[in-house]
Amino acid sequence: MSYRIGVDIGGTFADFCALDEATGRLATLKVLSTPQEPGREVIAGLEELGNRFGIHPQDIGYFTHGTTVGINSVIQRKGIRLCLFTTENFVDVLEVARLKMPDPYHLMSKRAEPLITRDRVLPVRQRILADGTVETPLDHASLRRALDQAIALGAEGIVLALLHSYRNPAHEREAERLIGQWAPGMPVFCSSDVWPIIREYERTATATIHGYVQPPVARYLTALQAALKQAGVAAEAMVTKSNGGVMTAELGKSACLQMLLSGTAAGVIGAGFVARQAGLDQVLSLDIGGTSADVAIIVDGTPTYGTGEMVGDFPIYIPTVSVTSIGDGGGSIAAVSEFGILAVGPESAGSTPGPACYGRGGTRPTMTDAFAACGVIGHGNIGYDAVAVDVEKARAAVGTIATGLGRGLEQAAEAIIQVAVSGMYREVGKLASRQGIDPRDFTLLAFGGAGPMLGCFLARELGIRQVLIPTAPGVLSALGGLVADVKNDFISTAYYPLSTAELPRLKADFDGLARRAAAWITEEQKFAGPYVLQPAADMRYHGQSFEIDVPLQLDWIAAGDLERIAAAFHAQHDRLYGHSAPATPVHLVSLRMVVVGASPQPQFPAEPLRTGAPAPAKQIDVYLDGTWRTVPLYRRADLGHGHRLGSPCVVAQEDTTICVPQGFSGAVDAYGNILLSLDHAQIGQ
Amino acid sequence: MRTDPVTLQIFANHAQAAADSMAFTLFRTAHSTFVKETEDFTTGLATPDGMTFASPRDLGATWFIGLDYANAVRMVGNYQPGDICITNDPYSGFVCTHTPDLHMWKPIFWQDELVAFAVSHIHNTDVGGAVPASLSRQLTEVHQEGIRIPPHKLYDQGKLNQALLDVMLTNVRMPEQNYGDLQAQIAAMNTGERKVHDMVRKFGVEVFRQGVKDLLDLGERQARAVLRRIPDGDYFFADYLDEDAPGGVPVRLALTLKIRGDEAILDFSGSDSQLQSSLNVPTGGAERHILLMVGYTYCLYSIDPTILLNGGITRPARCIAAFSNSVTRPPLSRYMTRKPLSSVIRYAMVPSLRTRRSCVPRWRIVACSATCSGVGGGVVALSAASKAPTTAAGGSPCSPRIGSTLKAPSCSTSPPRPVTVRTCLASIACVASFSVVTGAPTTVAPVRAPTEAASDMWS
Repeated sequence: MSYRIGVDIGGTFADFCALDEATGRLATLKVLSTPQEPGREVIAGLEELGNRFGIHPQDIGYFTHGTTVGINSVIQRKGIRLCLFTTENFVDVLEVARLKMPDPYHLMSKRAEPLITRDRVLPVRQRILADGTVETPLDHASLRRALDQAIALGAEGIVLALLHSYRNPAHEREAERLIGQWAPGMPVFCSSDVWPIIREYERTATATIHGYVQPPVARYLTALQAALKQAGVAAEAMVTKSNGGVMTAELGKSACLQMLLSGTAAGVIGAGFVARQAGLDQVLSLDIGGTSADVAIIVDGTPTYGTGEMVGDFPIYIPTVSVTSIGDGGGSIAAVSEFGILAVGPESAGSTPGPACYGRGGTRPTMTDAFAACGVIGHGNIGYDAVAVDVEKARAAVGTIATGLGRGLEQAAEAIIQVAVSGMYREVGKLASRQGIDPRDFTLLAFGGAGPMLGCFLARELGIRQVLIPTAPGVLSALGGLVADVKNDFISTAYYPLSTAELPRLKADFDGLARRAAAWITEEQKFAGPYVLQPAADMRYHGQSFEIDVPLQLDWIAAGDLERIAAAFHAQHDRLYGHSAPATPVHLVSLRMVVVGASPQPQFPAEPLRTGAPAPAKQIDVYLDGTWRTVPLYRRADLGHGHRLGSPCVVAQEDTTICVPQGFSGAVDAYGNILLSLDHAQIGQ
Repeated sequence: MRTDPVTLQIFANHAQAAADSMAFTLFRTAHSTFVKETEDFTTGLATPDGMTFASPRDLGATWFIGLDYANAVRMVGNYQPGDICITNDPYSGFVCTHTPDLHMWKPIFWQDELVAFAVSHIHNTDVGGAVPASLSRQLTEVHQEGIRIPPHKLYDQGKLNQALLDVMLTNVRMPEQNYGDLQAQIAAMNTGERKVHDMVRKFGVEVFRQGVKDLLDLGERQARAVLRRIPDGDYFFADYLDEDAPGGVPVRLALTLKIRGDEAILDFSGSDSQLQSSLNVPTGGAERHILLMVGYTYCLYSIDPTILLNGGITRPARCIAAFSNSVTRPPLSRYMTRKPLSSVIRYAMVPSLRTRRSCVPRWRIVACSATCSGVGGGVVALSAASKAPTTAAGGSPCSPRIGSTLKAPSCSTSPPRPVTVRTCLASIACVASFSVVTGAPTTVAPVRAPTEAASDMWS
């Protein structure tokens, strides 16, 4: 017997997915996470897998996991004490950043203090120009002075980020070598190694975060490897990556930057898997938990990637599955202003005290309380029996604002839901404009504890016609890790026009990338299966200062087909921005290569078709769309392939509640997913 | 207000979504360096009269809250579906801060009824004139600042006015950039139009019309509530530009802020008259020109961040800006006095909001470069106590004229510990919110004009 195990460790729970390779059956599990002692929950979960499902460590043939150790080091500021060496006169790079303030209208708005404070940024005399030529050689005396100062300041590591090192890394390498001689054992992180992109701040900031988290992440992975070995897991541990792929834990110790956003990325990969299973390829994935609500976009079956994704207060500029936070989730607090206006969020009850109905001391109404007051939740325990819902507490909390609104209690609760949904609409609309998509062409895939509760309401607001609720909405990240491919990105700076004259250079650069990519997957990852190379280029019109990522094809490059390459850029520009300028010269900023080694995809067995109507557990009273209605409450476990749902109705399951308002009808597919469709008459309203 | 409050909040979210979506569309597609590096652009929605009622929150210049397109809108007239209008002339329509700011507006119709305008502007890299990028303090006439396009239709019912475009592109140094920026603005306004249509479909045209009015009314009520929390009184502050022209004399900007109940009068009497150099601010005599009120907006928002950022918040205030004043006087030339102006307003508001006990250091901004406040800018701040110059590093660290005026260590290399613009300004707002929270009476004497102090420091 062989099992594939995916584990995702979040703030409250660690989620486990275990796939039986022989039968395709999936077992899921949640255990409490142990942030004080990272890794202990993994062992606890493995034991639980044995107890509950008879899955033993020696049966595990594949093990992936996502961890928050890196991102928590940044958020809690528990990384190592770093010094940064910059080119002389550029020591303010982290402070100046991109100048933008978090709230540009607020006079008290402040940027977060950089991970390396200004007193620990030290100048080195040298200068390499934009074309890579050396203007001023590396001055050893100034490097020595900076190093002595850094050691005096208690540096536990040094980040080297010199001007134009993406073009010519010679000075960073030389400095790294000298520091190695002068201070053996001092960790050194070169910006040209970490992610050699053009733009000084972006490269420096990325290298800084990498250096900051590398030692704690490496320590954690080493401890985890030992613990797994002791537990008897023979399979090599893999870790999920921000780019939606996986790599070996061993490599993660040095490439830890790539793991920082792996949890949210794996969730999107899991969402993509479920969507494919359901035959959908244009999907908005919506993950709403108690303290966060995140959206990602899947176009043609592929998640959207971005750079500059936020790790706590700081952006990193490596290819990352793009996930945008659109609010605070089920814990967002509702309040009425002195002008009688109802606002939901940005204040949140978080997980402590949490919504009033959780009975942990919260008294202010949250979105979750609004659903409880309307009778949608509170018919069973949620969160794997971790929380019982106290409807009376929810009604009392909502009651505190009903008077201010001049509405009845249920009307006030419904107003909270409507306002919260319109706030999410605003954020999703923004994201859609940034990505150049129309949400109406998409299916909303709702998961997380509160996603299935809100999904249909947000779909109505966005003009979305279909909502998909996966079978196990609580463990998509763990599932994502399980199905993720072995994957890595490579980049080289180009900075030349797309022209016949530069064609030999273009081909040579892509050849170099392809060789590095092939070496990574076959030698470093020891990946034996077939792999795919996906070339892409960051391109822009001459004169623009922002580039767009354009997927290319290997045969276009091999054939030197510049027209196809340019056409792909014009088309992408038109898709994103609604216009293109085919006569304008095109500039190549950087070239990329993604290598993907496909993981075996689980083949879940299709459930047998059931006949007849599903039997509701009971009839409940809910307040929806302005009136009390008696509606059926179904248990998710009672629903099977072929079952149809009318509306309104409510479906309860262990980790979430699905609210189906009037106008939707549902169907359960062969894999247990529920697809809710807006009835034709409702479209366009 | 006639719209039910819950519907109004939902309506506000949709209007905000429209303005934000326009901004993201423009930002990613524009060509101008000013857009890419300093977000010097704006997008928004305006009423059929031209008053801005929705502006982006995350992107773009922050000084266009409540920009009134009324004059410019009237100068064109006879709007038809498919029209797109354009102007960059600071002296006709009074929406353009200077010639590189190219404003556009597109009427949005619903079944033959004009329901709104989509509006936008971009600071173009260059619009011709005496110097590259079109602006220089050496200039003495607006005609040296590049081509001036009075309000006109660039598209008439969807048909491009090729002649107008040709004239414009012939008179600029980097026409392909201007053309790219035009396309970006049009894309943004088309996004706005689509969003407004979605809103009308969702809410109905009646609710849309009324909702827009109610959003402005709510902004006004919120602003009045903030002003009521400030004790009545006259609050005075003055500041100086270094020179009116290269090698010239300092320019005085003075403001008496009069708080009367829930109204504010921004009296600029005592400010210097029109300047020979390009530092003028044409307002067309408008009482509520937003370029005179940027500091007012920031202060209101900092006291109450839930305030709606729309034209309604300007209603409780009016400006007195005498004719013989660097602040409003018509033609010749202009550049930017906006930033110092906004700091004058902020400082005038400081005593009105100060508590008796404050440990906040007093900073005085002596010079600023003109960039978007949201993105910061090169600013020199002097601590009154220590006289030690401190720089805020900016896109353009410190201009030579600041270095030459101040007898202080050069600030262009290895400055002392940098502070941002916001560090200085935050201290002011910090005082402000303190007193609002505590409700402490303010008995502090108005800040005196820093004439002597300033000359002491600089001598």
